[in-house]
Amino acid sequence: MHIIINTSSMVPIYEQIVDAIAKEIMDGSLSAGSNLPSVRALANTLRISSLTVKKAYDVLESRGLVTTIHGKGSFVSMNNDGLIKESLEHEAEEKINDGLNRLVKLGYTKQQCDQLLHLLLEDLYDSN
Amino acid sequence: MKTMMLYNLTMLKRNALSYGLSCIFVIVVLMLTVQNGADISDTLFGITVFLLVYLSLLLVTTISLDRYDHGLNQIFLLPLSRKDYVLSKYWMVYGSTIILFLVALSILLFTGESNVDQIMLLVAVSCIAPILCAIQIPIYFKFDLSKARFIAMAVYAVLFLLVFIPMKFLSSIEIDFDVIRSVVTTTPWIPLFMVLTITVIFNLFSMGISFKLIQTIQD
Amino acid sequence: MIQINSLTKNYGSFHLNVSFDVCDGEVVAMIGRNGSGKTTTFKALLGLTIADGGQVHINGKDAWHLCHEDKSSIGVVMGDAGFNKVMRLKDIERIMASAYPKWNREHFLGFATKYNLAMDKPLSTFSTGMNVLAKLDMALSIGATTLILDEPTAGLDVVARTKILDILRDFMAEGENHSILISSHISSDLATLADRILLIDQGKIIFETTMNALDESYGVIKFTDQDYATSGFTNEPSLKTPWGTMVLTNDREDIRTKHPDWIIEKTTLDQLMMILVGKEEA
Repeated sequence: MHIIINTSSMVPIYEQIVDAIAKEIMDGSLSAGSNLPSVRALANTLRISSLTVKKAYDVLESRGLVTTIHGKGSFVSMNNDGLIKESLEHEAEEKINDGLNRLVKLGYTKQQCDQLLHLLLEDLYDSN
Repeated sequence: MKTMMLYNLTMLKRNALSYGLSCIFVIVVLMLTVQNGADISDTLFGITVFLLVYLSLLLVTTISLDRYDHGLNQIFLLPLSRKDYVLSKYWMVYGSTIILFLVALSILLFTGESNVDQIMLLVAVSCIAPILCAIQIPIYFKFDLSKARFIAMAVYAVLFLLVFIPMKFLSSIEIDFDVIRSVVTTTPWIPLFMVLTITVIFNLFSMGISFKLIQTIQD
Repeated sequence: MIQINSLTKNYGSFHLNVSFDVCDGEVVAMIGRNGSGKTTTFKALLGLTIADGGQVHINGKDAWHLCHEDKSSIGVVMGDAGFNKVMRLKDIERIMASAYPKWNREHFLGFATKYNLAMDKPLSTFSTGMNVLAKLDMALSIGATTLILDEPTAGLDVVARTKILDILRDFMAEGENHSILISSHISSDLATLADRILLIDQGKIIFETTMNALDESYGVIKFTDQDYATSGFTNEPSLKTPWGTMVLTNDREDIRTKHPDWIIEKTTLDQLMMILVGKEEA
């Protein structure tokens, strides 16, 4: 598991950990059933509070990516290629929603949002 | 307790130079002032007895040494009670008294001139160390080194007066001391018994005070 | 586990009254200005200073009447407690071995070798860093499950400090029930070790948070004096500086969304302390 924390990023550390682990599960570097380091061990390695790691593991568990067995540790969930995809889709949806909400708070109309989305999509697909 | 004894002995060892030098100094002074014509065994005997008293008083000063470098806090963090700490100081005194008593006794026995009276005298004289230390130990617990010395002297002065003034008073009303003296010394067991009793009483009283004092000491 | 309930100590005009817990598996850090009561709290909970009131329980037992085994579960490193400087580690090893039933001689000697602590020289020849390492060695060789450390890294350079923090992290990793109560002025150290922060000022704990909450929700908004006046945040904890005003908020993300042009940073412990207790007395 290779996680680098960006301490100057506004993204909370626990979220960075969730994203990093989720990515590794998705691309297969963390295989199903493999053991995650203990909360304390990961906290020590990353030099952060164990409560932060615990929160990250809890979030991963709530998304179904990780299973924690009390006394044994945390494991990457089995048989969940479908689940992973679903969870990542859900996450992406949430993030888009979040962005849209912010635009609405700034006073964007539905049309303006639509326009912006189109523009962004074009840029995205063009650059790829 | 054994931990504290180990601690005390280590402190003595680490400070052996200063403690040892001062004892040697005392011995040399004694030897130089001993009267001509006194034989070796008397001299050795006298030195041992004096060392008995001097060393015991010196041991009491380790109490002040313990305070340096926040040493007392470290001791109280150890898994031993504050009472154990106090007791170890008394036992250092009793231990050295017994050792030096045995040394003096051996010297006495080897010169072949010993008799029961002399041995009893030795026992009585050996009690001086525990008595003096009983007075000093609580004082050293309560005050730091520089004050403690003066206060100890003040206490001795007070005790001396407590004995001296009544005696002066009694002699002025013409009580016949000779009579009392002859009764008391009918057998040397009586004064010996009196000295031992005073030793025990002083030490128990002193321990009581020390145990109380140590509970409230904070660094 | 340490449970402190209304621990009270009075010195003239200074009144200490604190209550907090340190749970198994937790690292709790106490921060505060000099004289705020950190060391007094530590000494009182250990019975080195006689408290005027309150209760302290360590692993369920009265901290001021611990039996020998229970005392062995607490390792202490503080400037206000140490062996007399004429002692050598060799002497200390014998004393500790005699005092502690679970004394680990191999660990003590191994640690001393690893960190180049001379066994044969008196403590008076040790540097500050070596002294701390020696005390840590002692604390870690008695079979302790809880460490109580009062400013263990004071006066040490970052290399030495990191070494010590690594040792503390290893200690936490070695047991699920291990816990640490630490006080420090060096916030960057605590950010890499602590789980929970207690801010103490004038004998009272005035603020408490987890490092996670600090990272997630707390923020410092930096205003010019003009902007501050119209910001609507004039009732929040703040600190006036030569360049303007810093305001503490615990709703960072919401404010960033509402005011994308404002300068908002993650809060450091130093900023937290300056804003909450940094004002000079009137």
